[in-house]
Amino acid sequence: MKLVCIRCPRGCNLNITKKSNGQIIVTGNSCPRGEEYGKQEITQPKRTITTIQKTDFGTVSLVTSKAIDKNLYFDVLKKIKNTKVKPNPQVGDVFIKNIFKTKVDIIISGIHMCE
Amino acid sequence: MIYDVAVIGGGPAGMAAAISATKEGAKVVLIERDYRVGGILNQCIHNGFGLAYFGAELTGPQYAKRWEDELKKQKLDIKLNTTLEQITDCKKLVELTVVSNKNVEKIKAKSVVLSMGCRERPAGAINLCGTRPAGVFSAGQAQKFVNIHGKMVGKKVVILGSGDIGLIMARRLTCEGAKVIGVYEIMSKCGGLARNVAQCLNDFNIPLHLSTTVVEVIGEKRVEAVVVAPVDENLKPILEKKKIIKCDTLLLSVGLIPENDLIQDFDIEFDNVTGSAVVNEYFQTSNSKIFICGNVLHVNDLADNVSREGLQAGKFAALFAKNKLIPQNTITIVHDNHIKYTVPKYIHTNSTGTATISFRVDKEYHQVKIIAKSNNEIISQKPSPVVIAGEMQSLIIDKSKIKNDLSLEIEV
Amino acid sequence: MSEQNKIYDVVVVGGGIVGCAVFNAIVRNGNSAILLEAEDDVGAMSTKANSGIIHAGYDPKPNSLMAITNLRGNEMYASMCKRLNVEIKNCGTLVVATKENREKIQELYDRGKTNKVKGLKILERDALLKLEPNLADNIVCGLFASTASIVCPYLVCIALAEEGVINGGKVITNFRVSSIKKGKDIFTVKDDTRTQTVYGKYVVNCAGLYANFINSLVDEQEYPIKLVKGEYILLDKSQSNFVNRPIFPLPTEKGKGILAIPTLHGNVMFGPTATDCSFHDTSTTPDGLEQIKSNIILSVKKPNFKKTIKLFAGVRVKSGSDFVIEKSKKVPNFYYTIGICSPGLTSAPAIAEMILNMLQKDGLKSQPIKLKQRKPYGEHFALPKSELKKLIKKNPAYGKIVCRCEKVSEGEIIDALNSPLHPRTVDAIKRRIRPTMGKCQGSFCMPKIVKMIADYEKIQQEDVTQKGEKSEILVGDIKQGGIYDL
Repeated sequence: MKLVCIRCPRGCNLNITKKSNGQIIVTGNSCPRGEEYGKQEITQPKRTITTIQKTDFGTVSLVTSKAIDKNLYFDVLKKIKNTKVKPNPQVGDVFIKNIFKTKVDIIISGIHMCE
Repeated sequence: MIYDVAVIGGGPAGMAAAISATKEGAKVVLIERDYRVGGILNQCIHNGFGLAYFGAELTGPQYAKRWEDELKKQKLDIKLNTTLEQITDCKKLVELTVVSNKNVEKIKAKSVVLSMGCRERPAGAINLCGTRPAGVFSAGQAQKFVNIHGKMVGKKVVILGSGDIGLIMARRLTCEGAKVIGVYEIMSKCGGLARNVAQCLNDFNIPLHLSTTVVEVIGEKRVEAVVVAPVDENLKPILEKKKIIKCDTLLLSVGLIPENDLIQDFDIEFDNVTGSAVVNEYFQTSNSKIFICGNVLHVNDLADNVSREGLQAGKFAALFAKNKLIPQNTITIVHDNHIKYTVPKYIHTNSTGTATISFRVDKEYHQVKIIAKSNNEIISQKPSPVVIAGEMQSLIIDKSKIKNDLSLEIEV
Repeated sequence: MSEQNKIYDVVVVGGGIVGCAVFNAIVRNGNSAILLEAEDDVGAMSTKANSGIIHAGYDPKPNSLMAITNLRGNEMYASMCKRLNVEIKNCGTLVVATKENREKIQELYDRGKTNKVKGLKILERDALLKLEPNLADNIVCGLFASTASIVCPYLVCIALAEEGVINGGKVITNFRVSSIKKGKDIFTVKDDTRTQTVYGKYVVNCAGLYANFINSLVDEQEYPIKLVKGEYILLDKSQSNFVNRPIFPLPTEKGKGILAIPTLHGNVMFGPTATDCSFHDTSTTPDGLEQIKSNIILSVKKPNFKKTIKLFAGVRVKSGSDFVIEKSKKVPNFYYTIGICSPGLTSAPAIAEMILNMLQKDGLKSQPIKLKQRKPYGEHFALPKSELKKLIKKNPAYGKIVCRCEKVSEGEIIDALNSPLHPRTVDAIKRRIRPTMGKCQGSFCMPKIVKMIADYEKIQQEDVTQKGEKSEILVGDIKQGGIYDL
C-alpha cells in the first residue's frame, strides 16, 4: 500500500506491506515518525482536527490535543458545534475534555477578535 | 531616541528578527499594524507549524504564541495598531513615518528589518474573465472570514489554484459545512505539499484537476457558475472541452507577491524573479542599513523557514547598527539554469560559520544531487530523490571553504 | 404635506452621470427634484466603467448635439468640479498617428477648428516624446488637445447627486420604475415591488440602457439603439508614470479606439473595446483582452501587463450617430435622453443645462438657490503629516488604516457611510474612498469593511452586499449545512 506521510512538510512516499505473521513493514520514510504514521494509517488512521467556534467577540480556534480516530472526524466537529465557549477563554484551556472517551481533549489554540 | 533596529511587521519573520536583534543587545522597535503580533499565522488555525523549531506539530496561532511569549521576555518597544507610512533614507539613519490611532510620528533607526510578508494575487492578475459578482474570494480572505469572523463564504465552492492555502481552505470549508466541488490547477503538478493533498483533499474525497483552469465566472450579482477547461502544453485553455460547473463561490489561491511597495522607490537592487530585493547571507540589501527577510523577500513554503530568516536578519541588523558588521568582499552566487534564483544572491568571502542557501528549481527533477562548488571543488552537496518547483530547496555551506567564487548546481 | 405624497417639480429617472447632472441642475435652480435609481447607488452602471476623460470636442460631427454639448460641457467642467469639491486634472489628450495617417491628424485638427475647439496643436515626434516618453516607435505626429482633462467619472456622478441632496433634493436607490401614469397635470411614478409612489409635474428620462423602456411606459416613441460593451485592463500604481495624459489612436467608425489612460489616482488603464452586445453584459472576455493588448501597442510601448489588478467592462448605448435629447410630443412635460454614449460624461452638464432650459420654457419657474457646499471625501493620507496628526488627535479612527493599499482609514469609511446618499455596499464605499481598489483588491481589508458596514447598520455580516440585493458576500454562520446535515 502506498501512502503520503502527513507528519511533516516533507511528505515522504511510504510503501507499507503486511507480512503473513502480521508484522507491518514501512519503507520510504525518512524518520521514525513516518514509520509510526504508516503503521497507524493502515491499522487505525488518526488525524489532528482543527476548527473554530464562534464567540461574541469573534472566534476561538481549536485543536485536538493529539491525533484522533479519523472515523470520528465529523462527530468531533458536530460536538464542537454544540458546545459553547465559556466566558473569558484562554489559550490552552480545555474546551472539551476526553471527547467521546478517546482520551483526546479539544484545546483552545487561539483567541481571535473580529475587530 | 534613536533605535538600533526597527523591525517592520510582527509576523513570523518580524517576531524572530526582533528577538534576535534584542538578544544581540540592540535597542529594538517592532511595528505591527494589527492589534496583536503573529500576522497571518493567527488565521492559519491548521496544524503543521513548528516542527523545525519546537519539534512539535503546532497550529498557526500556537506557533505564533510561542514566538510571542519569547518576544515578551525581551526588552523592546512593540508598537501595535501602527502602520508604516513612509521610509526615508537619511544617510546614517533611516527615518520611518508611522501612523497609529494616537499619532503620526517619526522613528529613527540605524538599521531596518523589513518583514512585511506578502499579499495574494488578485483575479485581475491572472486575467480571470467573465463577470465580477460577489462570491469570488482570495483564499486568505476567505480564511479570515471563516476563521476570524466565524462566517461562511459559500455553500458550493470551486477552488482555483492548488497552493497550500488553497488545499487547506478546501478542508476548512468542508469542515465548516460547505461542499467543495473541486480544486483546479492550471499546471500539470500540484502547487502545494503532497501531505496537504493527502489530508486536505483525499481525506474528504475532493477531486484535484490538474492542467485545468477556470476560464470564466458566470453570475451577475453572486457567482452562479464557473467555466473550467483543460489547458494545452502552453497553458492555453482548450475551449472545445470547457465545462460549466454550478457553484456559488470561487476561491483563488493563485500565488503570493512580496508586499514590498514601500521600498520600490528606494535605490535598492531588485531581482526580477522574486520581485524583491537581493541580499547577502546577512539578509542585507544593497542599501546596507536595510535588511529584509521572510515572505517580503521571497515567498516561502514554511513558516519555520521564515522564522529562521528572521532570526538571521535581526541578528545581523543589530550587528550592523553596532558597527560590528565590517564591510567585506562579497561574491555573486552563480547557479545553473535548473535553479530560478538563490537567497542570498551574494555571499562574503574570507568568512566563517555556515550559511543556508535557499532556492527554487524551474521544474521537477528526480534523483538529483545539489552541489555547491568553489574553485572547482565541491564544498557542499546533498542528494535528493526529487526536487519540485513548488518546494523551496536549501543547502548549508561552510563559509570558510568559499574561495573566490561559489556556484550552485543541480546534477540531474 | 407628508413626504410620501409630496409632488415634486421634477422626477428624474436614472442616476447615471446624465441623470445626476439633470437632478443637480434642477435643485440648484430652486426646484424640488427626486432622482430614482434602479441600482443600489448612483453611477453604478455605465458611468462607473467610463474612461474618465473630459474631451476637448474635436471628434464629434460638426453641429451635432454631441459636438455642441461636448464643447459646452468641457467649458463647464472645471468650475463644476471646483464647486463640487472633486478633482479634475487638466492634462490634455493626445491623438497619435503613424506616417501613413499623417493627413488624418490634420483632418481631426480641422474638424476641431470647425467645432470651435480651442487649444489644439499638431505636434511632431520630438515634441510628442517630451510629453509622452512611452509612445510607440512608429508614431510620427499627434494632435494635442490642451482643453481636455481627466476626472474620476463615478465620483463626479456621486458628487452631483450629493450636492443635490444636501440642497434639498431627494435620491431613492433600488427604485426600478415600472409604471408612469399621467393624470391631468401630475405624473405618478411607481416601482411595483415597492409601496412608495412618487409624484411629479415633470419627468426626465435619463435611464441610459433602459431609456427606451421608460419611454414605452408613457407610450412615447422608442429609438433604435445599440449596446456596445467596452472592456478595460487596469494596472497598479507602480505603472503611474506610463502615460501623463490619455493617448488615443486615430478614431474609426467603431469609436475612439483603444486608449492608454492615466487615472486621477495614479493607476493606468487600457481600453475600451467596442463589442456589440444584446443586454447589460459586463463580462470580460479573452478576445477583448487580446484586442486591448494587440491594439494598445499601435500607440504606446508595450505596457507591463504583469501589473494588472483588475479587468472590467461597461456597456454604453448608442442611438444612430448622435445623442437624442427630446421632449415628448405626445405627453406634455415628459423629456428623454437616449443614446448618451461618448462623450456623454463630458456632455452631461451641458445636457442638464439643455433639459433645464426646456423645462423652463415649458413653465418650470426657477430661482437659483444659495448653494450649500458639498464636502469632499477624506484623502487624509495625501495631506501634510501635521494636518493628519491633527485629524487623528480629533478622531483616532483616522489613524486606523483599513485599506493598506489605498491608505484608507476607519474614520474615512465611517464618514463615507455617513455621507449624503448613505452608501451601504462594499462597492459603493469603494467608489467613494477606494478601499479594495488597490493592489490586493480587498484581499486584506474587505472582511473588515464588511464588519464595519454590518456594525454601522446593525445587521449581520451576511446581510452586507457587494453591490445591492442578491450580491451578499457571506452566506451565514460557520457549521451549518454540508456535513452538519449528515
